Amino acid sequence: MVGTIIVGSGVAATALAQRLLEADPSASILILEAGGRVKTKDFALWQEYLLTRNLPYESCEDLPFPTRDKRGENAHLGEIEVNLNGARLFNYGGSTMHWGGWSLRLKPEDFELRSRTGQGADWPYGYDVLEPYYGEAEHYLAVSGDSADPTVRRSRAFPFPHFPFTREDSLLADAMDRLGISYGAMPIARRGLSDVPSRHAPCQTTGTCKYCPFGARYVASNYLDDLRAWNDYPNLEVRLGSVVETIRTTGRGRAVSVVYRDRTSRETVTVDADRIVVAGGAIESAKLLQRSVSAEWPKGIGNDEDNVGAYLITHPFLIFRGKRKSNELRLQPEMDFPTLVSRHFDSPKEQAKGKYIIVNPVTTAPIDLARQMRLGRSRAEIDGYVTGEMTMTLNVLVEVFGIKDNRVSNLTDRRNRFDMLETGVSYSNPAWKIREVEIGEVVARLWDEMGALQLGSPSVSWRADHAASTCRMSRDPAEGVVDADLKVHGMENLYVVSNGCFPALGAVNPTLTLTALALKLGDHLVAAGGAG
Amino acid sequence: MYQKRVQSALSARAPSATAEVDEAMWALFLAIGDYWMLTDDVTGYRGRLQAFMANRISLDVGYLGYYALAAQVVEELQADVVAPAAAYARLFTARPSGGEEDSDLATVKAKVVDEFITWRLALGGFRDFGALNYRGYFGGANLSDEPVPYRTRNAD
Repeated sequence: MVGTIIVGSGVAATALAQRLLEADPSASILILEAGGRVKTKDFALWQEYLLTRNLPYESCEDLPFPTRDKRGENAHLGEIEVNLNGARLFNYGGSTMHWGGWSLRLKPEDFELRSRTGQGADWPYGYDVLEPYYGEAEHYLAVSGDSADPTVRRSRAFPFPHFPFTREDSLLADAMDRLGISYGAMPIARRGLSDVPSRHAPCQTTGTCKYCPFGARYVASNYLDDLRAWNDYPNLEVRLGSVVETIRTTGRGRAVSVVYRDRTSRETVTVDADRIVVAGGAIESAKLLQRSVSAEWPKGIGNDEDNVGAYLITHPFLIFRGKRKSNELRLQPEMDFPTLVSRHFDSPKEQAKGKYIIVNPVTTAPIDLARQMRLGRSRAEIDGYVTGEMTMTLNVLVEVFGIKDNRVSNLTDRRNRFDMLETGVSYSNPAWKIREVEIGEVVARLWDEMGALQLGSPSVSWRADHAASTCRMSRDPAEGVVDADLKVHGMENLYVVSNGCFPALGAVNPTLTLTALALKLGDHLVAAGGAG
Repeated sequence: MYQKRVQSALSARAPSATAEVDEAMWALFLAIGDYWMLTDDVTGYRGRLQAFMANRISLDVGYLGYYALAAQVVEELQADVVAPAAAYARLFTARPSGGEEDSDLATVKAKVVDEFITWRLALGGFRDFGALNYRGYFGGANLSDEPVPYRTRNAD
């Protein structure tokens, strides 16, 4: 018998486990992770990435959807292709292995989406309830940010100062100044230095953030390794290669065990637990509840109202490209994360149509010196290339609203390379094109101010990096899957903590909010019945 | 699993390039700077190049062969021309095309020269093109009381 089983080993699982263990170092916690270990902070692997751009965790991604010629994985069932390939990772530490670290808080109006707009759903509580946990999450994730930024109210400063705007930000920042569009520093999970001791190194601005050789960007497996190697937590265990098949219940209200398949031994293992927390991401968490079928839960746990897996949302990611006649400032990618973000249109005024943020990406001036030299260009030719015609990029992340028919489901006859049931993704959004045009008009003004011409239409990625809302919180069981404490409606000891719990996603990256939720859940569990 | 590094009974005896090959690779690395007129200070680069090569060999022992082949190709090119610089120039500007992809020259270009170019830029060669930081360069931390490790919006 285990005190608490946590399914998944990403940021939610790790932050929660740490919270429980800090409350009771003897807490009994078993973490089950379907994937294996990817080595972090290895200089040979870092060099390989530097040279080839091949990442050591690419094999942990979903394959692309099947085509006539390739088997692929998963199935795209709706009108819009919400791609899973590259959106998430199956490995120890979950998708934090590749996340960008953009750590923006939701705004107060995001918690009141339906009340204010009639769209989507409200959170069961307001910003002020989550605000202290946002502060804790920023410290836990080691976020560098501007504590004086007035965008949202904060009661605690960031742990590390913000990164100043880069030279590459100058054109966009100047254009926004002239157009009266507000902007600020991107809060970014990159560790700095402070008086608080840490086993993790500060960011050395190495420009290879997708595989940091120092571990300065939060990766959950590094923190789980800390818990296991350095702390005296005798009852914490992590089992890798453990594919959870189902959760068993007794009667209708109590979860009693987890059944998983050991990918190495091929055995099916049942583990009893006092409490079960599903932290497997928005897609796999919903799928696990769906397939946990019993006489009491014939459509899966918490799924009487067909809400599990439904209301799928993500962020469409718009990529605008432009061109300037010259690059007199010799702008080049000097950093591998953005330092400028505009939340000007992430505002109550825009909420009914879908808020959005504008980001100046690291590819703004995609100068590639190494490629020029590999092509045998002379020094004079390369100097001309650096200062000559310049292509530019702007990124926009847009809020969309939950629709019940947009959903994820288990493909019961197909398993992926990790022996997990594959995923069916159904997504449509008939209203999208209108919003894309409106945003394009704003970006056109920015290109004008920057002295640039837009190149073609923007490309739109609906990749499921920010998939959310599939197990959404609600006061009313008919409207969602979990309650305000993340407990599955109708269950007394089964919880979900993932982006799937968000009733609304706003226009910003979800990981900071998810971390805040995990820390809040930890406090709730400790208060409700002990650490485990 | 994903891990490419092979652990075996021989792992403790990590293979490394011979002294002659090591010397030839250092000369090649310096020639990159000469050809593109890079003015970065190469003090300390030799040890970092050796660590770089050791890391490549640790992931793929075939790199021992690539480095030896590179030394041989450079020697052959130098036998063809009067000035060593011209031999390196021929190597740096080679554009192997149809039917030549498997040639010694093409292999050396892809596995050694192109990788050394990336490493030379990352160690500091990039500065000649106007930036303060670069992909792969250890620019340093963002500390309140120290210079920002990249060009900022308002800097000169």
